[in-house]
Amino acid sequence: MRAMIWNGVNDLRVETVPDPEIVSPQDAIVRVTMSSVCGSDLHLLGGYIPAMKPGDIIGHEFMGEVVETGREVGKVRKGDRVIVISILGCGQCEHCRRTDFSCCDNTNPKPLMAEAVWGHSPAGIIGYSHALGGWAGSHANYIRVPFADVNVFKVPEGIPDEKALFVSDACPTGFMGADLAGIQPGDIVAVWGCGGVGQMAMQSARILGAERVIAIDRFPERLQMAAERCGAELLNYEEVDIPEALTEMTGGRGPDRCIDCVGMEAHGTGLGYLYDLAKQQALLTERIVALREAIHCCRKGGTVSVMGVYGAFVDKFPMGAIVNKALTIRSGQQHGQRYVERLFGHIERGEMDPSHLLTHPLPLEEGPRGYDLFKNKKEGCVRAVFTP
Amino acid sequence: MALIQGQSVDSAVRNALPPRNLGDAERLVSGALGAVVALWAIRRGGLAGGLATLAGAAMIARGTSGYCPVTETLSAKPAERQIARKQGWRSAAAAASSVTIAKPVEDVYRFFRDVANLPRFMRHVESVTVIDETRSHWVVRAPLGRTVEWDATITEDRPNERIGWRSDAGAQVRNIGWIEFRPAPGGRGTEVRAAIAYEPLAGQLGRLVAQLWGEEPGKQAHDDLRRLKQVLETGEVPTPALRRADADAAMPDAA
Ligand SMILES: NC(=O)c1ccc[n+]([C@@H]2O[C@H](COP(=O)([O-])OP(=O)(O)OC[C@H]3O[C@@H](n4cnc5c(N)ncnc54)[C@H](O)[C@@H]3O)[C@@H](O)[C@H]2O)c1
Ligand SMILES: [Zn+2]
Ligand SMILES: [Zn+2]
Repeated sequence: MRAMIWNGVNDLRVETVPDPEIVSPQDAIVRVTMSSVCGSDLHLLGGYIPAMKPGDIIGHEFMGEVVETGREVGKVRKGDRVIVISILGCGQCEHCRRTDFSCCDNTNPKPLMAEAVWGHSPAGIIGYSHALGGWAGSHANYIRVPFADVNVFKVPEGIPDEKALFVSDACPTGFMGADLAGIQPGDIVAVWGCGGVGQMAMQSARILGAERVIAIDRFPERLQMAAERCGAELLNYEEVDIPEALTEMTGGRGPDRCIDCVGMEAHGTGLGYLYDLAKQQALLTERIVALREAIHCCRKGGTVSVMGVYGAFVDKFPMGAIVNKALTIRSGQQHGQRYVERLFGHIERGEMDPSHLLTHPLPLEEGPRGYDLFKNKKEGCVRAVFTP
Repeated sequence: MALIQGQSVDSAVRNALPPRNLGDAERLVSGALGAVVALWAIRRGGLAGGLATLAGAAMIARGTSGYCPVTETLSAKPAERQIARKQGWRSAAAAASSVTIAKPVEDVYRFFRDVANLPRFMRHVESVTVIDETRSHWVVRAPLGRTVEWDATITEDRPNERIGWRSDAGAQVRNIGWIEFRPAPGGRGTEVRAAIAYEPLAGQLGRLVAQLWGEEPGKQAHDDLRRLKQVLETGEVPTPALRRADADAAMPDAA
């Protein structure tokens, strides 16, 4: 089959590799029909999440058709049109039973590095480096999905591909960001980052009862989407001072709930950004411009929900603001399996619609170009989606 | 940090666990540095990276537990000396680990008591053949492509609580071990604690060699218990292999 292969930092190529086969009776083989880029891939391409090996297939937000199942798989069948949650659950461990699927004890077969850096290993993730299991990714004709009954979901008839695809990652991640924020009626919610994740967090905040949603980014086309598709008010951080603007927009209180949908490669303007950048180049810490700002701006007693990904250590973390303003910090890789059925419902009722995120449908062979467009936010690219 | 698991257990093995021999400041520096070296090493990949990974991982262990395995490998721990004296061995290597399994104590005990199941999760155990109610024959992969064999006897069997065993007279590698089962709080299944001690093939030198080949007993114990959990909870040891042939070749490497 053809697959998009990581060969080194910022070196992707589409190559011919062997097809996967059923290895465990709990597996499914999915023929991939659409596979999207995600902000998380950028951390891998840039080498910020180590433990990639040349030859790894990347990609983890995808849908397709089940072509084969192991003998113990009962929930999905050959021919089903499905999406897959790539943060793998086993369905059996303490954490999966609590529906904290991304904390699964059993799906990272290579937990030692994670245990060394984080104390315990989270779930394994498809297409997400050997630190999280070395599971082959989805930018390929076929993919092997373990524990299919837990991680593969049949798409309801009425939902078209361009909406269903994002229930694999952007929708549940955004939704979880809003869910963890604990939104109450009357709340003002500020979202840093207008990528796929941020925009879905905005739509979710509305679903969960936010009174107003404020979107923060610097790309006009993304901000415009946030206004038109997610009903957000806009702040461009290259044009205004964010803390000042938020203070003014909230009558001096600050947003009740702040959601970081940016992560470790945050871009910024001030001294703090240059400081982080220099340290990150030296591989010591990550860029937390957006998270610092969210903590700084959040109202007293409010919640900061962190969906942007961080890998190891951050510097100049404003712990004082958390303690003295009595903030709650929530975070996690998405527990997608917990939300899929609910999200299908929101999409069927028209309350959530991610289809506009698909700005660049491309053949798999143009994968490297797709990543260039996405990484550098060229031609208004929000999500490049490959069809193998 | 899990490379050398430190909690728990009865007195012999408690003593076999890492003593604190580093000062606080040294521990902090060692910990931070270790994490960075581990990250750096894995980014680089390759052989030099692999060795640095080992060093990095070891430094983290040292930073978090106050215990330094690098200096420790050169001199036996007091409890190991004690085990060696008590068992009449030249020297002893000991390791302990613990894990929680989301299954009732009865299930975990029953699975482990059927010693023929052990190769399903103990990576270095090639086979265990039941001889009679308490005795079994073990074939184990050793460093440098060799295998070693011995007969073992279950010396203690308290259903749903504890199993202890030791190798019979004349074993190629003399060893003892036990495993304990205890209900986990909050209905979370079973807490399992296990400890093993063996007489290294050629004294301390053999142990050093074994560690270089990645056969360090503390890591093995940790990996084996994780696989026991995987088998009992999910029915398999998950592997990212894309093809059956690759999966069958070996249980996945945890690093
Ligand atoms: N937790 C999870 O399970 C999960 C799942 C998917 C993605 N993610 C993470 O979510 C984050 C966003 O993913 P995405 O796919 O939307 O990525 P993306 O690259 O499309 O979007 C990120 C956006 O953040 C903006 N940004 C950068 N610096 C900023 C700043 N200082 N203030 C405000 N906005 C800023 C960028 O301009 C960009 O529009 C990434 O870190 C990704 O790894 C997490
Ligand atoms: Zn993602
Ligand atoms: Zn699980």
